[in-house]
Amino acid sequence: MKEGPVAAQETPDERLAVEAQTQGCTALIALRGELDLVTVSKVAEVIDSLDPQSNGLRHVVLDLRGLEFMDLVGLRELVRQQEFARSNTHNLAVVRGTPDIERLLKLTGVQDRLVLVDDPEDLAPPVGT
Amino acid sequence: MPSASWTHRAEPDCVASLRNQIVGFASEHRVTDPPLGDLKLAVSEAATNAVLHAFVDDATPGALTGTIHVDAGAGCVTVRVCDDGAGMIPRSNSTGLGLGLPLIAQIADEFSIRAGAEGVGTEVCMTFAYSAA
Repeated sequence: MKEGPVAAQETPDERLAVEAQTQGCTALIALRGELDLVTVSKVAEVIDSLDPQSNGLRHVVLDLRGLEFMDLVGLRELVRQQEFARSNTHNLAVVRGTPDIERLLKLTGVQDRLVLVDDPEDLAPPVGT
Repeated sequence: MPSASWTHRAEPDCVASLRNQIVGFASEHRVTDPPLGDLKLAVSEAATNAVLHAFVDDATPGALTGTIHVDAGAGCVTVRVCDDGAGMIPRSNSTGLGLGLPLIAQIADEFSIRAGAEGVGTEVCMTFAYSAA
């Protein structure tokens, strides 16, 4: 058996981009890259920094369309954010990702615990209000 | 039969490295999707388990090795993820939710977990069937 080729290691910032936009009482957070053990803390940091209660945010939309990969560590963060939203009385919606991510949500039953949409525009009230 | 192996220090960064190395090798050898997506997820879960649990009592983490065998004739790809850590010990202070291994069992066509070579550490073995061209 041969030793496999060594690939250059990317930093967490290269592997996951988290972009937050706030309009009115809605925050849209777009994820691009891979969500796993190393990168998951970036999502928590961004959402925590929004401080929805203090800043009057009523809706947080987590957009998974740019995610290339997510495992159970990422899934647990979604559930954690859902529980935080419930206790903080803001709304959390998740924009569906790739078929593999959809499959993970389905296999674990988490899809029934989240508000899932295909596009942020599907939300009522619309993003930006 | 094409095969390859990679060994890393079992630190968090190695999860993505091992995941992408194994899936990259499978892609190069024409393993189809499905099951590539499931294979990627399963490797990530097995490696994450090892990083989080195998070396909790050690000052520095040990080794994590991933091996892949692609058997186009049989239409299956087999991956082993092995560590040289503490082995399978029930822990009351586990940081996980215990879902990783059941998820692997759910998505792999064959799955086993056992003590590593000479009784050291843990070996997770998983096989995925695919349609070889």
